[in-house]
Amino acid sequence: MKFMIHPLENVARAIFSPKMILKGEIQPEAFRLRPSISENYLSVMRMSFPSWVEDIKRIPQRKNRKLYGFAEMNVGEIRDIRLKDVVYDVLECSQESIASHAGIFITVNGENLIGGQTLVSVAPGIEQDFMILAIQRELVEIAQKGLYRV
Amino acid sequence: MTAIELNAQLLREISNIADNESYLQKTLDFITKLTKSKTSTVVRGQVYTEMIERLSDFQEYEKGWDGDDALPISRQVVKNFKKVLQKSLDKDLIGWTLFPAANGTLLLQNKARKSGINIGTDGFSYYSVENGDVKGENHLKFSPKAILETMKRI
Repeated sequence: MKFMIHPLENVARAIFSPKMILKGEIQPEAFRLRPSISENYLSVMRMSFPSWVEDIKRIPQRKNRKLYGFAEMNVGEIRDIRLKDVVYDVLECSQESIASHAGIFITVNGENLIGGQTLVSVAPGIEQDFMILAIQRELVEIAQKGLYRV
Repeated sequence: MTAIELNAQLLREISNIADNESYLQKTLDFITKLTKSKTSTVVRGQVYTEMIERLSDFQEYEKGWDGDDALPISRQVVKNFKKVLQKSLDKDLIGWTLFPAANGTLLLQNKARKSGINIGTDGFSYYSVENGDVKGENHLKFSPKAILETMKRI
């Protein structure tokens, strides 16, 4: 059972590459559900938890994956996005080691959005599904208001 | 040098050497040739230049550029987008921003119009949000004309 997070809370979406912010604009790809792991939510940290900075730094980093910054987003604002047939929610996903962990869950016509499963294809060069693009756009608009570098 | 600046410089030169008939004739011949030339240079605006610069940057992106598993931007997609730019007028590009996409495609977004176009190797998709209603299409056949028409329409 995942619990809803209070609408007044803010969450931080980690940004792992400087290329995800172009001339001060966050890229829509920052809100991509990864097909490779059938990702079913966008990982975020609850900023009301004192440990959130430590938690965000604990996300595994690799050669090309270094924490570059984060986007601060209000939970109520995410939940208030009005797109026909689309519902955004922010639910807690805490684990023992990452207490502040939460996720942005998206449903389309009542079906959970999962990376790779509703996209037309993930093959190179194939255009992306228009619904996914619209869903990402709404999140970009909110994230754009609170971009920070670490 | 823009066409306006070039004309201004020529006029300055004409007025400075107006007493030199042969030089004046040569200058007039040059202007006539320039006017009749079929290969006149098209001066493009800032939006076009910015798009070209962005595209050039995106072409350098290597696998994993998003800090994860993103693919490099497909060469064919870059070619396609260059064709769109060649056929475009500066006014067509105003308000549009180019982004790379993790699957090797390119995304054109218009923030004010809440719309976007994703360009692939053979096809494209587009969306537009109006009063919370998402309209769009997938798997449309790529052509520069079709992209430009969609940019105007959405």
